[in-house]
Amino acid sequence: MREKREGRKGKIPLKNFLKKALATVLGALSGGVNVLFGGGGGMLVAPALRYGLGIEEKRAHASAIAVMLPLSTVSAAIYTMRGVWDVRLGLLVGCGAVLGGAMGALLLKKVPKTALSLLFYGVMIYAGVKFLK
Amino acid sequence: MNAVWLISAGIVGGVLGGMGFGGGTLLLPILTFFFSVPYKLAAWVNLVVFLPTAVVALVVHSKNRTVEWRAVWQVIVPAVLGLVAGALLMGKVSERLLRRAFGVFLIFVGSISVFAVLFGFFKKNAKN
Repeated sequence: MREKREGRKGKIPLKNFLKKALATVLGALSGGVNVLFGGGGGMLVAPALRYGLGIEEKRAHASAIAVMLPLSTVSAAIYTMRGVWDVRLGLLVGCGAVLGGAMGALLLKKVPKTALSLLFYGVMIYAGVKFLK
Repeated sequence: MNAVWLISAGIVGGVLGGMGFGGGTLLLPILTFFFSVPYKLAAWVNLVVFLPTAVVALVVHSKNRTVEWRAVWQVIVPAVLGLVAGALLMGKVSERLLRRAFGVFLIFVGSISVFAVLFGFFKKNAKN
């Protein structure tokens, strides 16, 4: 393994550059997507950190939150300033989200991740098709 | 709209978010399809309800030192530029176009993720 890596030494700078470029492009897209669609930025930030900057999955998820928190705060503020807000709706769904967030974090270690991921992405694609109409 | 159902919708989004899936990618369709919330308002709700959980998660993660701050900065700088571009575009895009574009986004990211999950699964099993 080591020899192989050393043999490829000449190619590594270009590969690193492309990976950084990937992280930059995905990062820029995440900011735009998140404010326009009102979410989904994290779906781009996590791979930017993981595949672009080579950060391991768990740390990439944790770091993605650090990216998304300021982005979503500013995006939400932009919507609010444009007159798009509803306190009752926000509070009710928000209470559920806080409760659900804690449940999700506790459940995390107890569920089959691969099967659940596939189910989740399947529903996501289905929802996408519904939005097209 | 029924309060209990709205809280339940939040729970669904929260559970998925807490498990590390993009909770919003499902909360948005739930709010627009099941509760007939206008898309832009659903977007606002989704952005806002993520905040409290994210603050708690971030505090926990940074205490555990699992946040790679250098990488965070590397991504946040282009992301802010994207945000500015998106915000400028926002007023010019109709709700209908936004919904469709989000649909394309969900299908695209969903499909890539399916492949990534399957690839990771087979790679792991091949190793064992």
